[in-house]
Amino acid sequence: MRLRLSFSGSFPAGRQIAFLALAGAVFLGLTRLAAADLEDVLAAKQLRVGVIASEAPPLVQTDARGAPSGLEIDFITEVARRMEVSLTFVRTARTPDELVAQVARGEVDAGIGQLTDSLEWAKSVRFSRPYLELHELRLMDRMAATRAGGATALSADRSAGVTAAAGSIVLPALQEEFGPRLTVLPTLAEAIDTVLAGKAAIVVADNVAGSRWLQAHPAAGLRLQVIPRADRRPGLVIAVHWKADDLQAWLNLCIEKCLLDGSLDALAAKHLGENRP
Amino acid sequence: MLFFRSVRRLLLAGMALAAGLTWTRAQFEGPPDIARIEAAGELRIAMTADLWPPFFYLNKSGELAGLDVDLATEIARRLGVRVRFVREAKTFDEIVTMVVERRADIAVAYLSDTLERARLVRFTQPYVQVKPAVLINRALAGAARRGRDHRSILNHATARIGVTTGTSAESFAAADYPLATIVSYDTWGEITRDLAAEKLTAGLSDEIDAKSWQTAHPQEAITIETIIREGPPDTMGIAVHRDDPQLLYWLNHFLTLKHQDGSLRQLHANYIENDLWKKDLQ
Repeated sequence: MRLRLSFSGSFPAGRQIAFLALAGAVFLGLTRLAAADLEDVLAAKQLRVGVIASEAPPLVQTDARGAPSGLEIDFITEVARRMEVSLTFVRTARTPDELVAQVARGEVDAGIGQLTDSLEWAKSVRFSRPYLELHELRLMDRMAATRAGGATALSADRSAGVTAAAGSIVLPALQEEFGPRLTVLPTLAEAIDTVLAGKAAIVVADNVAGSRWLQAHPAAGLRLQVIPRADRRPGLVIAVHWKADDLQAWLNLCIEKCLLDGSLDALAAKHLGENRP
Repeated sequence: MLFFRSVRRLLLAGMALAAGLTWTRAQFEGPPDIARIEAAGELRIAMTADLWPPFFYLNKSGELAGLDVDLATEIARRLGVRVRFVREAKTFDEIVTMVVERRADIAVAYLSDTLERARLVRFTQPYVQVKPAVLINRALAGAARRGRDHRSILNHATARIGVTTGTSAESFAAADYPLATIVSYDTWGEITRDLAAEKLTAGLSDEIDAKSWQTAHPQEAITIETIIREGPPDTMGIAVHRDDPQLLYWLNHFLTLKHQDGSLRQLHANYIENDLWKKDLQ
C-alpha cells in the first residue's frame, strides 16, 4: 500500500495516466508475445502465422512481389477470413524444427508450412487435424532393387542407403523407420542425385514434390523405380501453442467445414492439379 | 528530494520489468509435464503387484512382458526416456491412486477407464476393449435355469457372484445384479477356486480372463459354463494425472498414430487374438 501511495505522489495525474497506458501497452504486448489462445487472437483481431522460410512449391513459396504464396498460404488466408481477423506472416524459421520452436515460444499464434503431426513435435505444441493428406513416394535405384530381389527387399536391406530432403513432410516417419540408414540432404534434387550416382539406393519424398521432380526429369524414370506408398499418409497440419486449446478446437472445426464445403478440395485442384490427393 | 523520487521511479520501473520478464519467461517455458519426465530421464508406469497375462506377466527369462509392457516401453522410447515399471498396487483402484499421488507418471496396466476412476485421473482413448464374461457353476444355476437367461438367473437373492476387488467387474456386478450377493476377492484365481467348489454361483470378469482359465482347465468345462456377455465392452485406457494436459495430448496422438499405422492392431493380434505368447510364459 505504501508503495502505491508513493507511486501516486510521484506523478501528476496526466503523467500517471500516460504511465499506466504505457504499462498497459507493454503488458498487452508481452501477452501477445507469449502464448495466445483464440480469445487473444480475436481481441487483437490479428492472427500471427509463422511460415517456413524455405521454398516448397506449390505448398509454400514466394511470389514475384516477395510475399508468401502457395496452397498452405491460401488455406491459412481462408482460415483468417473465416475467423474475421487480419493475417501477419512471420517468415524467419529456416526449418520445421525452428518453426515448431517459434510456436512453442509463443512468438506466433500458429505455424504452417510442411508441418506434420510428428510425435517429437507434439511434445511441445498442439496440432490441428490434418487439412490435406499427402502420401510417400519412394524412388528406388532399379538395379539395386533387382539385385535385392524387389522393392520390399531393398527397403528391408540394412545396407541400402536412404535419402530425403531436409524439411520434407515425410522425414518424421522415415527417421522412425530407417534411423541411421537415413541421410538428409538440403534439397530433393541433391537426394535424387545421390541415388543416381549410386551412393544411396532409395530416395523418399511426398507425392507432390516427388511427382513434380519426375515431371521435370522424365528421363530419370529409366533409372528410378517409382513406388507410391498409399499406406504412409503424412498430413499437413497447423501448429499452435500447447496451451491454446480453444484455438486448436476452432481450427479443427474450421478445417472440418472447409473439407465439407469443398473449399480445401478447390485449393488442392488449383495448386496441385493432377497431383491432388 | 528529487534524487529520491528518481531512484523510486527507477526502482518501480525495474520491478515492473522484472515481474514482466518473469511472467513472460513462464509463458515461454515448454509443457511442464513433458519437461518433468525428460528431466527425470524415465517414465514410471503404475501396475499391480499381481500379474495379469497377457497384459503383464513374467516370461521364461523372468522378465516382465506382455501387451502393456510392449506399449509402455514404446511410449518411453518415443518420449526419449527409459521405462520403469512400478508394480506396487494391490488393486486396480490403487493404480489410480499411484498416478494421483504422483508415485507413477502414467498407468498402462489393463486398467478399465470407468467413470468412477475418471473422477480422479484423465484417460486416453481406449487401446483395448474386451467383452465382459461370466463363469457360471452349472450345478448351482441348473435348478434356477429352466430356460431363463443368465442375467435373470444371477439377479436373484440366492445367487452369490464373485468379483475381483477394484476391477470394473465390481461396478458391473452391482449395477447388473442388484438382488444378488456380490462377494469380493483379491484374485481371479480365488474366484475360480470357489466357483469350482460350489461356494459361488458365478464369477465375473472379461473374455480374456475367462478364455485363459478355460484353456488352463479344460476338464472344468463340465461343471463351469463360460458366457461372453453381449452389450458394451469394457475399455482399457492409459491413466494420466489431471495436471498433465500435454502428456495426455501426446499419448492420445501416439495411440491415434498406432491405430493408423496398424501397429496397435498387431499388438492385439500378438497378445489377444492368438496364444503364442503363452509359450513364453514362465
